[in-house]
Amino acid sequence: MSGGIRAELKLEAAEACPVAMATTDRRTAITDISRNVSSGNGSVVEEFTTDATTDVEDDRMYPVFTYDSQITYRFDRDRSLECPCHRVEQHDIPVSETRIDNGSLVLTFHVTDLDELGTVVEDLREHYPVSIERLVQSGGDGDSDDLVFVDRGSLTDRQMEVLQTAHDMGYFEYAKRSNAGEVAAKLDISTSTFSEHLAAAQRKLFADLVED
Amino acid sequence: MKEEFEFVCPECGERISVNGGVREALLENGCLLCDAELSERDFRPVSGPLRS
Repeated sequence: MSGGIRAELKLEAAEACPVAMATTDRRTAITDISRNVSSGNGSVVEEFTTDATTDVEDDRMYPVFTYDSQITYRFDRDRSLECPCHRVEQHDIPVSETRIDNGSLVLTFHVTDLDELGTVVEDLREHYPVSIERLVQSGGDGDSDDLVFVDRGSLTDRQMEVLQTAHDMGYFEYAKRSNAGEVAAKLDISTSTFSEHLAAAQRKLFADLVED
Repeated sequence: MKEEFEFVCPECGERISVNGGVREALLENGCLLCDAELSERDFRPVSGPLRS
């Protein structure tokens, strides 16, 4: 499987990124960054996700969603404030992660090829000192990565519950710690209903895992 | 096994950590910043001896 390239760039411009500067522990990676240009006052609405144990000290940023050990924050940023992430995204490339490393801003994003990365780096270097720290190409080079997306959202709540319960009870282990009847009883459904839910869930998941 | 290399461009001096896939792409296409033609000597395994 061939694929794009994950690029990790270091910029001497840490203070220019409000998202990376938001946390008290600035080495903490901030992920799931999204931006939306507001049509009202010309500001940019930004959201980012960080670990729940990390304190966000910027008063402009407020939590909008908490899930497991992650918190998503939102804030409005003046569009006139230049941000290195925004400059990368002007190339239609979302920044997937930001963090501060020894006072430098580290940005991670994905490009389709080296030409695209070269264009982004040249643009950034017109504004900031930039070093390319690490490049990783997915697949095709004999390494063991062979990643696919599995859409858990395709499962119904009941199918997810059946899978989770079966997993928790060791149904999928070798040797099985429980049989279909025992899992079905735990779920308070018949064995045939359990089998139907399981088969439906497997059909959906396997469709993502194997080639047509 | 995942191989890691340190790439140093002989023309522009750019220094980058790359994996095997990026190494192949650079050998095929040249330096992403200065288009210099590259050879295997421009890559050293990160656990290997330093290039002279």
